[in-house]
Amino acid sequence: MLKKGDCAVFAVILILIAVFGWYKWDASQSGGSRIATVSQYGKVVKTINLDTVKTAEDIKLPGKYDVVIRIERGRICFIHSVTPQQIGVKTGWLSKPGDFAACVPAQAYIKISGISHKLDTVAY
Amino acid sequence: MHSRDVMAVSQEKNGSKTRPVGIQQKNQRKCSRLLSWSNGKRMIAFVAVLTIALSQAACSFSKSKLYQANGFAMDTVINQMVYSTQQQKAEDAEKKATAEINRLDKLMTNIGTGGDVNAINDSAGEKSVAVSSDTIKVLQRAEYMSKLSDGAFDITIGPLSKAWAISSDDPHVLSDSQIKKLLPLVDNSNVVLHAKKSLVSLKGKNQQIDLGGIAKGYAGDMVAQIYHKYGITSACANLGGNVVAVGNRPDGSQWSVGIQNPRGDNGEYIGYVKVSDCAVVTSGDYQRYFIKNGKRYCHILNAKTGKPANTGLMSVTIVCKSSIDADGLSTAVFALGMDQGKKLLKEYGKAEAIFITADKKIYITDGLKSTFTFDDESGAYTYVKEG
Repeated sequence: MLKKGDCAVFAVILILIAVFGWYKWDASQSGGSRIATVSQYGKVVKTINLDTVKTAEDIKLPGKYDVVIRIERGRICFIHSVTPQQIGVKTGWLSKPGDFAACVPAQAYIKISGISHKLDTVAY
Repeated sequence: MHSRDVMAVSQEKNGSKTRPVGIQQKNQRKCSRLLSWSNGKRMIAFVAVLTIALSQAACSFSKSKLYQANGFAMDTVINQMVYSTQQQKAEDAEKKATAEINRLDKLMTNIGTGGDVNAINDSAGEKSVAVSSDTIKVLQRAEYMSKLSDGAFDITIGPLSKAWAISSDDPHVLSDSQIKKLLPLVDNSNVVLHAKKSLVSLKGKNQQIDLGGIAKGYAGDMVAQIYHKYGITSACANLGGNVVAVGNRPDGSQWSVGIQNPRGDNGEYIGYVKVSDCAVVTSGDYQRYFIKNGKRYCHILNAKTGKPANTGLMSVTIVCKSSIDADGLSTAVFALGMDQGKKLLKEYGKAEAIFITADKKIYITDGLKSTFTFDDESGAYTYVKEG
């Protein structure tokens, strides 16, 4: 038969494993801070920690499409472009891990690191 | 039984010396304590082994690392998610897939110069052109889709799609007379294939091929093949809305593919399907379109009328094993509308569909009943369960 002491040891071990497992899983899922990456023509233009943004900022991308990206605390978006379909602008604000928006004519995209918990991707 | 227990018992049994009762009782107590401790230790060992086994199983999910890549090709955005325990393998597979998409883009574009399709179009009505085996395969499948859809899908739509220029900076609303003039050029039977010689010709002068309704689908199949070749068993690629899912998620569950809300922000969905080793392709009136005088003109043209498809659908999503077929079918079904589209799918036999109608109702085919989840964030749509 198990003694009280043995049970206590098991309980502590199991709790430690559960806590450590949860911590590892959570870290792998969320990656901690929300890091947004802005890329154009295959190169990273800017990397921003959205959780530490203090004042709103606009980034104007080079090229004829007059693409402007707005960064605010916790969110980012294509705020303006002169592209025919406005697909990037229509994506709206990105704020969750895995969120993605692209402006195809300007060959630019914004991505928040991590993966979406609910959906892997969207068919459109 | 533990060896120390065996020893203790055998000593009692074979004890050559006679021990006093008090000592025997003491020994029995000691023995039972030993038994108790040994059970406890066995339990500890069991729990430890179980814990290690469970944590190993749990860790096997996290051992598969995600490698993501985003880029532009085929006039759209390409996203790849490749899982592997070996980072290098995932990276190599993604790079090879990206190179393949770019190669196919160059072969099959009808924009700019170069490639098989431009060569065929430039030689229309004049001569045959030597093309790659990939182009032959796509043209053969396009021919099948054209016949299956009774001409609603037709890759010789090129002259009309260029005239409408719907995806461009300067789209036009064509007059009936302009359409009437160009419509005779749309005829898939004028695409002459010599598969063995890899030769293609277009019979009519000024005819033009446009593979916009099928080339991405073929690229999706090639990407899946590359993943398999590299031993990747868990990957998901999105080629401008054409989704190709390879295997399952690394935890063994199926991939969740959202279905775009046709009137919502990009990425906003009305529900999702769970799939494995499958293509999910949507055609709709919302990504490439223009509005003039309050009327919406989408980029999918009905090859029979020469006009943007207007059959009461906002989108149709096809779910089937073949990405090229899913792409062709989604275009054809969108052009035909829901009722005729259902007949076409029945004839094809291996595809399921989600229809979103102009009055914001959602219909699905029977085969998706267990895999589709209605989850409309906007609250604007009604899921119509039939049968």
